[in-house]
Amino acid sequence: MKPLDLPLRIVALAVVATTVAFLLAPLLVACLLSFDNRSFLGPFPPKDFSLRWYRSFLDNPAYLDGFWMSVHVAVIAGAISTAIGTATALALADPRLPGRDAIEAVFLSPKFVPTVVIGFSLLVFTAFIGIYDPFVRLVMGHTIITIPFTIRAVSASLVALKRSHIEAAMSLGASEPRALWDVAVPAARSGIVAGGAIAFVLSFDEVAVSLFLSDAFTQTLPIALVAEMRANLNLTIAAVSTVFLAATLALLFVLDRTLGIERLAGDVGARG
Amino acid sequence: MKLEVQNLVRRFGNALALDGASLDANSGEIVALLGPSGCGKTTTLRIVAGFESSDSGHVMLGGEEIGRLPPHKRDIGLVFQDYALFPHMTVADNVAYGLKRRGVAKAERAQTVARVLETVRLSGLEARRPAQLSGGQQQRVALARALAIRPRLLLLDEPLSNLDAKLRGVLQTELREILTRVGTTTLIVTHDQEEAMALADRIAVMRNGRTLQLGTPRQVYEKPATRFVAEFLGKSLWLEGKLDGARFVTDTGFSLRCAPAYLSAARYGLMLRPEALSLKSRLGDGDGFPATVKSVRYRGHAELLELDIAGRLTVSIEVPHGAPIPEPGTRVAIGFDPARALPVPEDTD
Repeated sequence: MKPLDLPLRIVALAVVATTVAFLLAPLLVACLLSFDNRSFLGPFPPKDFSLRWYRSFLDNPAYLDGFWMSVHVAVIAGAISTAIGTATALALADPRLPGRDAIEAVFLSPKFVPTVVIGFSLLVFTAFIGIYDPFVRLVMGHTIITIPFTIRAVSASLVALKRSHIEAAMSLGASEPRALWDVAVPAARSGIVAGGAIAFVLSFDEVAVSLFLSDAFTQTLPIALVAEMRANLNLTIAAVSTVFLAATLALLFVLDRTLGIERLAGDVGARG
Repeated sequence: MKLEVQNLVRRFGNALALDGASLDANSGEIVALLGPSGCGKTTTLRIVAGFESSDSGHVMLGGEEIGRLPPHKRDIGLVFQDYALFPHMTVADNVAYGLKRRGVAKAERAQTVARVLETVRLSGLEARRPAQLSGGQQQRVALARALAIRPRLLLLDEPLSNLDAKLRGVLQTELREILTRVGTTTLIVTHDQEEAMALADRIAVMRNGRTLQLGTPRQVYEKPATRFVAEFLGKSLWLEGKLDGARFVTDTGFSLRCAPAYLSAARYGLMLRPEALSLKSRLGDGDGFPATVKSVRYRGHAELLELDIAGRLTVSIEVPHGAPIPEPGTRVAIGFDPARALPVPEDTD
């Protein structure tokens, strides 16, 4: 490709720089503020730094409980979602499956239904079938909204899998489930890991569905943050946000090292 | 073990993939299922392997009906067209997979793997991954994997079609040699008549879901059951017309002497293989016909003459070096030995 003319290059560079600044600046501000020693939201930048908001985070049971609740929900919902997503992706990979497109559309639909609608519907539905435990409700909700992503992640890794691989295993003496386990699951391994990680991250920072399904005693971290922000706005939220951000970045780093960020970005980026 | 496939019928929606296909392979015999794409040969293979079911008909192996058994209980070794090697396993693990599923102990597995890999001359490549092998090697791993389970029947789906032409010739000889040595009953699906002739003891020619002929390469080439078989098995000059006793009267008006018909049919055509044709200076009674030279091409080992017959047919004849080469546009005579001019039934559909 021919290099751009100088004026055009300057404009392009400016656009890129501005975009990056707008993307990163808010995060940087939140990070910096989390170390602010002042007890109020003062002018930026802070002059005096401390870890008091991190102490406040660790001292506040609402945040800590929220954190552990989020971890529990994310691990369980992520695991269920990965299992269902993997099974579904394997089924969808079989060209003989009747009504494949329809099944795929149903399983991917949570991606296109507004999460607020899913949250409300699930609240009404769980009440109707007699499930009142908010933890169970949260796991259900998070499982539903993450399934499209685990399916997509596993499906993407199954593209290279050919029907003949399964059939080869069957001709060698494996029943069909056994053949899937021996041949398709190893082929999908990276997709399964990626799907599980995506499900965990999505569940961990989910707000809209959780708003409907949590109650005063069962709150995920993002819900605790929202509640706390309304009740008394202070910089603990900045500290929590920074921890949150650091945890997410750490997870992404590990995934990038093991699987490559493109596949994750491709899957998460397709959201909504 | 003897394979018998009887009257298979299989319908996919409105399409009749198999319309009463039958064939058999004796114990230890190599049979090629030959036909153009869409003739039903792959469907037949998949029904024998158990991946498709037939609407009616039987598949018998060693006298036992296996048509209702699931694929993993059939003890049939299958070599796929794309080889279908498990990419996450080494060569040794690929070959050992069937033994593992059969609960064979580890030590015995290793022994069998070593033996089978030696059979296909791949010893030393045990630790490689399929992606690190050439196409020819992958094919032999696939063969080794299928042979390791000591199958009652071996199925090969277009075994050499994924290899380049040069390699194909070498591997053809080698494959035939391995198959003969292990002595497993083998069914080979192919669309390549040359491959079928090189590998098989007998050839089943298929068309439109039916087996037209099952015979030795010599039988199907020299005594084809129908025009389709004649033209699929090799080049031939096909003259349309009517059989009249010991003579064949072509639509172009030649009255030619011919061999007696070996099959009874309503309509015949006259089949002349190119190797039975030659240029003649003068013709006798009904042993040739006139033609016009269209073009002459130098082909290394010979000159290739393209000849026009009565403005309706074209035939190519090789003239060895040293013989006089007629100029394009010259009228010449094509002669043949009447014993090699065969009335062959026209196809009925």
